[in-house]
Amino acid sequence: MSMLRDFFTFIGKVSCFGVKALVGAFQPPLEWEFFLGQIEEIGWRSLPLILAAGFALGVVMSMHTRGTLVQFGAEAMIPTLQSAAFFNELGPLVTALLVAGRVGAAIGAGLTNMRVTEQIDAIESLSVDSFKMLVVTRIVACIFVLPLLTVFMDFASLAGGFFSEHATSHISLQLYMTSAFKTVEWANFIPPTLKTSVFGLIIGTVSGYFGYTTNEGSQGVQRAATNSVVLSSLLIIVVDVILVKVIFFFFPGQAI
Amino acid sequence: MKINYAAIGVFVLSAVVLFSVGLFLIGNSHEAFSRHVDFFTELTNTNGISPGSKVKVSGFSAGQVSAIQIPDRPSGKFRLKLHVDDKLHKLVREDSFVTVESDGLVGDKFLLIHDGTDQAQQAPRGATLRGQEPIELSAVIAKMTGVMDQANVTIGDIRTKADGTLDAISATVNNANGIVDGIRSGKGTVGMLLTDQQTSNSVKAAVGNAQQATANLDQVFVQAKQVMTDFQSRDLSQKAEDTLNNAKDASRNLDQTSRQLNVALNEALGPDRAGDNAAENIRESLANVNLATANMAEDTEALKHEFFFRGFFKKRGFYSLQELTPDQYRSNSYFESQRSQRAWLNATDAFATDAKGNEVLSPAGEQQIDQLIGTIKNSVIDQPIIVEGYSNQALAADEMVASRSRSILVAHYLEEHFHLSARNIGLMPLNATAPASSGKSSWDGACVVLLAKVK
Repeated sequence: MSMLRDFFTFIGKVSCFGVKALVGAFQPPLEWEFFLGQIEEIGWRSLPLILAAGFALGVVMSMHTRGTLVQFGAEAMIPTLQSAAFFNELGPLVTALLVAGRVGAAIGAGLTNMRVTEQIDAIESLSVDSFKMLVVTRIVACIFVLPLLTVFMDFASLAGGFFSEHATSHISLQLYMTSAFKTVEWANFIPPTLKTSVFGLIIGTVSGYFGYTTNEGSQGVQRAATNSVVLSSLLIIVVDVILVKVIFFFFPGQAI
Repeated sequence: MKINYAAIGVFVLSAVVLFSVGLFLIGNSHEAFSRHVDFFTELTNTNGISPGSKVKVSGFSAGQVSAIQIPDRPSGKFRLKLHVDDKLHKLVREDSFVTVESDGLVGDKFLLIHDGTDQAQQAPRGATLRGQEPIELSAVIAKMTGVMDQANVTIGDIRTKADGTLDAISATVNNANGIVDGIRSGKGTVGMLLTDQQTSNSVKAAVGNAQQATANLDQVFVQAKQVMTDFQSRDLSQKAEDTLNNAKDASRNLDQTSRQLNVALNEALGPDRAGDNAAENIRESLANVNLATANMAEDTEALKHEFFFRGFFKKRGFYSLQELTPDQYRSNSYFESQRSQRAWLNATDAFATDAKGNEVLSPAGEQQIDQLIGTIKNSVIDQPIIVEGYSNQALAADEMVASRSRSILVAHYLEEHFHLSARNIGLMPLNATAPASSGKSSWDGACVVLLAKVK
């Protein structure tokens, strides 16, 4: 019973943490310097990871689908399937999970370390809102950067798929792109890309909460980092189910 | 904290550009940025077509179904709004029609606008194109059911007819059965053969004779075999083969010779440069020779009568014995004045009739001629001789024929027996009347007259 109460208490605290951060984002003054710094840290420095992962996944996906589709004589469907899979689901989800792994751990560990080393207390002593400066900027940066990284992931995966297909069947780039975008509609591209903002909110909120609230020395740093990644990833996958349903609700044509 | 603004700028701008590219690529594939024209069509059944379904013009992706208006009563039709690329407007004519098609066996449904004819006007914007209802599977099944019912009826008819045929076959078999029964009971020839003892005995006797004949034949075969064995043991077959080989060689040589002869004859008789063969050449040459000799005869004849030559002939008394006519012979003084030696051949003694009924010179006649020639001996070689033929038959024509025939018979005998030249023998058929100088008024038979030689 007490565990259940602790669980709901945790949910309530995290939710309030997130709402407070969102509200704080719209309350001036905004810490632009820290925000742009987080953009660079979360976005720019994650870009190699996203591009490499997207390209590799594109190659692997193309190879796997080819093996299956060839049995039905439907090799021409490979670009279509590739784009449909990455634009709809794989691109946003994999991007969010990768960012959760890289950035979530960094946020959780970084903030916990600042708490342990009393850097946050020092900031507070200067009458600066540490929450707004350290947490809000990270959460907003995650919300802003995730869709952009998703776009990179989508196109990197298409590039990987084309690379694989061209090596196998010498398909031209024009035909590959025409086939890839033949069945994709805006509803397959814009809502899934924008839903990663929610993933960014989850990553920023969860990791910010664990980092900002943990004050238990080096073990706390470790636990905060681990919890940030695990819970962020879990929530991303669970929330993705809800978001897909929401998209189908607003774009019924996309529901198969 | 130092911020790398350039990195942030590149990151954000690249993402925005890529996002825009994605939007445009998707938009282009759905003609989102091209000009469009709207058409309408009406269908009783949408067959799974929904807003957003593809619209193709003659198979080319042209747009999508932008709206579907639901009918207000069951008998009404769905009104579909087709959002078509303006580039393909030219293909959509007033007689174009719309069908619901399926993109492959399991593919999406789409609307296909069939292009119209060149003669028809271009369909104006907002035109309602004729919708052609797809063939329903249930309709196909209903039709198939009808066909199967009909097939069922047909099979029933066939069965009825087959039953009748089977009855007829059964009756035929029964009849055949009756015939066999009749045969068994001795009816008819076959039955008699089976049941009558006498007939059976006769057949048995015939078979016994046949067996005897076969045994005889067998014996003959044995003997023939023995002969053949004997023939083989004496190596006669080898000899016969040798003989045959010799005959073959001989025939081969003969064949070769005949071939050579044939070649020689072909070469000899073959066509000359002008293309004429030997026979034609010879015939032509003979004709020429004939003509030449005729001319020459005329010339020589003319020469005989020329001044320088005629003295010889006048002295001799005649020009040519062959051309001497009976009248000239009678009237010519030379012949009249000649005291020539004569041998009179009597028709009854000197002439006879052979088996075929022709008159021939008899041995007595020949002997008489031989005696005459014997008097002058070798000088007969260039002796001019006149053979006078006589006949005293009733008809003048018969007289002439018979007298000439007798003179010819005697002349031939002289030519053949004494090898005299025909040039020196003159034929003179004188009918029955002899020349006055001969000392006889008439005669029946022949007379050989030896004329005096020219000195």
